[in-house]
Amino acid sequence: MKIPLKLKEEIKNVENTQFIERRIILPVNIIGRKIVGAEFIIDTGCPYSFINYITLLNLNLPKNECKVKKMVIGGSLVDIFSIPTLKLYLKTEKGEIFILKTDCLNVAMPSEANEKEKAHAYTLPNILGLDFLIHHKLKLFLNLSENVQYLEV
Amino acid sequence: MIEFPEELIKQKLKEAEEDIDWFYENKKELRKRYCNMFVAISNKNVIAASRDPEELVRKMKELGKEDAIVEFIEPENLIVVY
Repeated sequence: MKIPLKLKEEIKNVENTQFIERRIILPVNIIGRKIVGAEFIIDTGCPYSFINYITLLNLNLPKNECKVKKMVIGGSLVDIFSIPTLKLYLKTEKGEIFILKTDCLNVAMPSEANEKEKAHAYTLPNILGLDFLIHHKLKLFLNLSENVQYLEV
Repeated sequence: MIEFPEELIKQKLKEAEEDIDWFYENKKELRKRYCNMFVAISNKNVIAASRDPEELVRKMKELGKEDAIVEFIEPENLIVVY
């Protein structure tokens, strides 16, 4: 079963130099106490998976008080806390719903830092890393030059 | 965990996907007004914006739009690598 991913890109012009920012996005509904729409960035360079602070607030979920680990993500020092099991609802290429019940996700919270670093940490995206792909036995197919990208279950 | 009807989930997933597409298609234009802010998007519209994530979630609750997509709009000259 294939779950389509989206390749999103933005062209930025910075001081006469063009940068193309590309991201591989998975749109989902996350269900905890309610339904929340969200996007995850697929990041095979990241060993862990997490939701960001705003998604946690939006889901109205508690985080556990016990810190799991500290990480530097995108230059920001964050504390990773575990959260309750969540259900992710994904759309297959046939338009059906595929449900993933997962306890792979944690939440990334700004660590003790100055206000600037804290503000930056809040802007981190939701990320699906290698642990998620391995735990749920998902295969990742990318042929970006042909605009082909999907997860296979 | 609460169970929701499948049709509702399908509808919400379709809306989320459309709102994500709309955000990326319009990000440059949105940046002019909402640079360095979190925006909540629902039905291809920005329904709330704030620099403070907690305030944004409060606004979404007040609007009854807690299922909106939330995005952060970074400045154009900030190249972000995770």
